[in-house]
Amino acid sequence: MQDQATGSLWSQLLGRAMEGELDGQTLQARPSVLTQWKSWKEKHPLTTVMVLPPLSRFYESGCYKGRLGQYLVGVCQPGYPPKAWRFDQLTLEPIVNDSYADEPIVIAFQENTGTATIFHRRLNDQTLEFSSHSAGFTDAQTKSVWDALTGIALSGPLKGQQLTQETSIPSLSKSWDLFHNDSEYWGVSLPLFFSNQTVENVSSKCEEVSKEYLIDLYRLNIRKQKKSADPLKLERKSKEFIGSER
Amino acid sequence: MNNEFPHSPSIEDIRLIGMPILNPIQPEKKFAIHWLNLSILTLLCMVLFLLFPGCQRAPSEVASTHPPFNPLMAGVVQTPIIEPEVKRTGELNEKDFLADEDLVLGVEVNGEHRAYPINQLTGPKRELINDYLGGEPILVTW
Repeated sequence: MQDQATGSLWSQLLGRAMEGELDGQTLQARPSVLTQWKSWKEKHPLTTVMVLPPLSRFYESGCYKGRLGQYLVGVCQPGYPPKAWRFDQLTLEPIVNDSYADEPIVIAFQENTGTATIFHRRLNDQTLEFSSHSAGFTDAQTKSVWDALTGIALSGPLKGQQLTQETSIPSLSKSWDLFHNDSEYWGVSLPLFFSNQTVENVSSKCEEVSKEYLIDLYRLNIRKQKKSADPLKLERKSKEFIGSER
Repeated sequence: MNNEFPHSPSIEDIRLIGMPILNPIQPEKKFAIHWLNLSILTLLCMVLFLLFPGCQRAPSEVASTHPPFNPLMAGVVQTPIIEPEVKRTGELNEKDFLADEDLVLGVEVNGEHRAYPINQLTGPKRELINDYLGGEPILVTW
């Protein structure tokens, strides 16, 4: 991207000027959340939504949904190496108590909507430890229940209090890898894992795409385990794999 | 007795009519074709040059911060999207292509909330949205 005032060139993911008069300067990132429209309007009924005219008659909605396994949520603060939490790892452990930049944080992942939010765990000079709950997440210290999208306590002694949201960047793993070479990753990197619910979430429009992606993933894993595998057998196995996942 | 394949020419037929021989292109002709192609290309270039005034800028005018000079992109003006149309949840209709399951980028500034559908933030012309929210200028990108 380019600004009109100085004509400097900026990186979209880093928010930093890469060339020109403002070279090296960084735009301040704002906390944002990538979620489904349904849950966003449910939590914030007075929200406004941007509406642009469709670009072409081939315009389709919901085509990003099938790629949930390729997403991650990352944090990047100056002076610290970036850190990322992959969605396919977060499906195994939806609430992660972690720390970044000497600050305790919690990553809350909702698999049904594909939303990952990051909050600070420190509240009123007290560091809370969170675990999974049906309505969001709950803390071990006061047993309050917190909403995973907004970070507001729904019930318990801390009801009405809000956790500070950490500025996180939802991204596709590929582009994150490209821009943050030195990034740390939480959890095990391989083998890639898809749970039943993630596959069920895939909308019908993207079904074929995601199916191919699953087959590719399975092939990749097999290839890593056993290099001299029969391709026909692999094909059959990958089909069986998809059958069992459904 | 020779009527088994009446449609296929016999050796005698070929002797009478003569074998069809493709004349190789003469060197003079080759050159002529080459020059024709070149002249058409140069004409096209001149037309493009006149159509897009961006090409006519002197190199000194183009700031050193710009990407490498690309004559194809020189005439294309990228218009920034500033303060796009927004709607409340109740005002949406079918033409807005926003399904419940669609991913949105939600932002909150000074108590004001706004959602940016990811489907609409794609493509080179729509990746950057200059907007004001809660009295503050923000840039939304995907």
